[in-house]
Amino acid sequence: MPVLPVILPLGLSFLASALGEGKARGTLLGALAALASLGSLVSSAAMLLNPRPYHLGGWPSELGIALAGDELAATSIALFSAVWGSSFACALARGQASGKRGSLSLLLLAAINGAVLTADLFNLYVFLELISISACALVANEEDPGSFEAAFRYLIFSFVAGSAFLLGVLLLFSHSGTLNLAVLRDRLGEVPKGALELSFALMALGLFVKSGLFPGHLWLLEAHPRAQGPVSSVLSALVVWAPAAASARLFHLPGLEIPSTRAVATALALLSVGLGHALALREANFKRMLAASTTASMGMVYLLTLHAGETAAALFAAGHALYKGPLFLLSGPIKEAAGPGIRGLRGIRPASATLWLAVAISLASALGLPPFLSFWAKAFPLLEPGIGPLAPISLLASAALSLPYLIGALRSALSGKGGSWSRPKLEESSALLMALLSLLLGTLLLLGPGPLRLDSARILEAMSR
Amino acid sequence: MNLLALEAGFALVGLSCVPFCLWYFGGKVGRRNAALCLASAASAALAVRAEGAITTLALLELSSLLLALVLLKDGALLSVYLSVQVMSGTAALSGLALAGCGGYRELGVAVATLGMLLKAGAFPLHFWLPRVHGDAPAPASALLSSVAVAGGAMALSRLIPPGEASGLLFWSGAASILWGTGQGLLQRDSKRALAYSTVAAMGVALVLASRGEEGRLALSAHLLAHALYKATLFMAVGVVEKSSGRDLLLARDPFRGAWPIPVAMVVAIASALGTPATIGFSSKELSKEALLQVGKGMALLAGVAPTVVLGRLLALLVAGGLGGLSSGALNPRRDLGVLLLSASLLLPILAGLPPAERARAWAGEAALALKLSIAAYLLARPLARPWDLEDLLFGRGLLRMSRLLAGRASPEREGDESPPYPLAILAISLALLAVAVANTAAR
Repeated sequence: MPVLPVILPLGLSFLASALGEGKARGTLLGALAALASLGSLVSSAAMLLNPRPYHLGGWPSELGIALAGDELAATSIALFSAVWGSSFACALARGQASGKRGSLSLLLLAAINGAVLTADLFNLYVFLELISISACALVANEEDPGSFEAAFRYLIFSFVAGSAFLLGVLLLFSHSGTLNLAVLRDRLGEVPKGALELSFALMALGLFVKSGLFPGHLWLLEAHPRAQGPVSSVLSALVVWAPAAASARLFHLPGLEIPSTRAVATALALLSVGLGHALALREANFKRMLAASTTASMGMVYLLTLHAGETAAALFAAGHALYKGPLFLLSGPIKEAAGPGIRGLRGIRPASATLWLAVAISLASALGLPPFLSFWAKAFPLLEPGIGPLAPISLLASAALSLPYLIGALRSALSGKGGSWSRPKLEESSALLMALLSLLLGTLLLLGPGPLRLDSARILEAMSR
Repeated sequence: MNLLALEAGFALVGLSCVPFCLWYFGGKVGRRNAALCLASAASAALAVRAEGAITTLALLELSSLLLALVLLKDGALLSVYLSVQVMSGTAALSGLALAGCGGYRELGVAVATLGMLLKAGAFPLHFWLPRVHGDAPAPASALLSSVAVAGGAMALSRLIPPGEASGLLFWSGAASILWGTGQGLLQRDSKRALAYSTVAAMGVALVLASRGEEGRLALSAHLLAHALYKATLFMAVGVVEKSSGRDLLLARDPFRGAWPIPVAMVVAIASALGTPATIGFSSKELSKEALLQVGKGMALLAGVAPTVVLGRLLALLVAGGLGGLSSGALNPRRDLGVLLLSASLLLPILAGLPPAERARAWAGEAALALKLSIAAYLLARPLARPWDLEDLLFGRGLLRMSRLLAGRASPEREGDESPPYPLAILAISLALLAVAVANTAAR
């Protein structure tokens, strides 16, 4: 069952490539996408009920393909399916999903699912490259001639990042003789320190650039705003998250926790947070502002991965996906209703009440207000025993830095005059549903029992440590 | 028991806001805002008793978010309020997480305390409160100045471990009392004056919170009494503003045909002054008991200073013949909320009157407060201010300065009279000195 989120979209992408244009084919493409999404969702539910590692064909770890069917993979895949499915439906509705683009999109889903599912370093490299190739092809579109250059730039950066990652993997393999993460855990002690440091640095660099961290922001700031709305949505919510989610498994391997290389990685992540917010602050274009803030958010995801654990990072990334996805998805209708500028957001309220509501809820979620999922990303470090001071300090600093541009956008969106409720477009309802999903998940965490309820005694105990 | 009373108080304020919102906004907006106000009060009430730090902060921020939606019409106000809430919540969460990291306990507690001080609107992080509370629609002001800040102060006392940051709480509280009182006295806009008196009342709450467990009961009582009388006053001022289109202190015959409003105001101010047989009396007695352990000076300051602003309001109302008070038909939507709240302030009557000795002691303090309020007002009123220090400190002054330098005069709002800041600073410095001397002498 855990292999379904990879092989189902992969198989369906071959089928989709045979489809051309036309309404009937569009319906068929929609059915294939729905099947891929549902299959991934069912599989993630099964993984959540029975989390365990999976060996394809029953081969031993060192020879076969290993999958980590754990909670991290299951929840990531469930969210990937929801966001990807919504974006794909919107692309279909806008006539932006031909057979070829649909096939690429399905390939992208298979690759991002594979990247969080795999427990093998070489397979991770393959999935990361598949993500880049399909995403680069999707960025290029005829609506914006500049998108071809942006896609090319993305391809070059991805190639360099992929090569760095592969070199790191090969270096590790040459000393340990294995690519399986579970086996590697036991053999890292055999790897010389210098080689270990270099391989960690190369792999981290590859992952960072693919997630759009400094210096990868150079491709991200061009590719994300120039892609069509539904593609930008998947790029900014999922494509940058998948390498970060995969890094959670890698960075916490006991032997790979090397202070010097972690310090460099932390510095790069911090630089990305500051740079992303600074770039977002000076942007007047809404889509470019969102893209710059993605660099900052991914910097935070890596910082949390390194300093607060994978759960905090996953919460942050999931919260980010559920507000950045809708906002990019709505970029098309926003541009049509009010133009590309942030100040133009005041024009969305008279144009469509649903559009206005979806934008306002997503921006409130971006601010990290409760009960949105993004609030829990700020709260979770409280629950992690033994975290360093960097995670809470950077969460506070990041919130302060993002406040001016997010509040500015929210203020513009709220200041327009009230419009009437007309039949919403598919993008508007999809985006609203995604934003409400964040609200629902956050409310469940607020009301639900379990470890998220923390009493003051626990804080005192933590303080006294 | 004290938490239960506070929860009930929050719920009562929320319920009272429902008919008032329906009257104030009218139609669909009225129904929406009534639901938002009720949900906000309910969320704050749940936060009072929530079992965990995260849940408490989440419920408080949720309450703020719901209340922010009532401010939708004023984007600037909404931006300021949301920014403050986001930063205060994040600072509190990050500070508590930081305090759990080895070696960062003091820094973490300080960050969390500053976050909560920002939420409660305490000096010097009160810069947003007078503007937001003063300019918001009256139902929102009523909830902001009662439930929202009280929830913040209560959460602060529960989240910051006893004995931690007590110096910061004490001095921020003392400065809030003096600054809020000084500024409140000098306002000519009644909503701004009430907002500054909230700063002063939060100062008392912080001084009580700095006492840890010993001040917990007095703190709950103080927050309950403050929530009830401040919500009543903001609603009453809102009635006048809505009916006459002008501020209470500028309107001609503000209470014509609306007799329940001045009655409720007098009851609320009487409770704020700690009149026997009102909730304010019990809360003041408890506060005095807790603060006498700090020193007589602080007990006197906390008992008298915050009431001075409201004493001046009462003096002005009485001097103005209670604004042309005349009888008229009861308007249930308009009057139900204020009547319900003012009636609740008189609930201690059911338990009987306090002993004559305690009543006499109160009369002495109340007379002092009234004399101080009249004297301070008369002294401060004729002086012009050279600089608007608070604006200068917190941003707007820089804008004004740049306008002045560019040769453009800044537009003045009606009733936004320039208070004489140098005198206020001098008075505050002298009062701080007097408190310090009195405390030292008492020990």
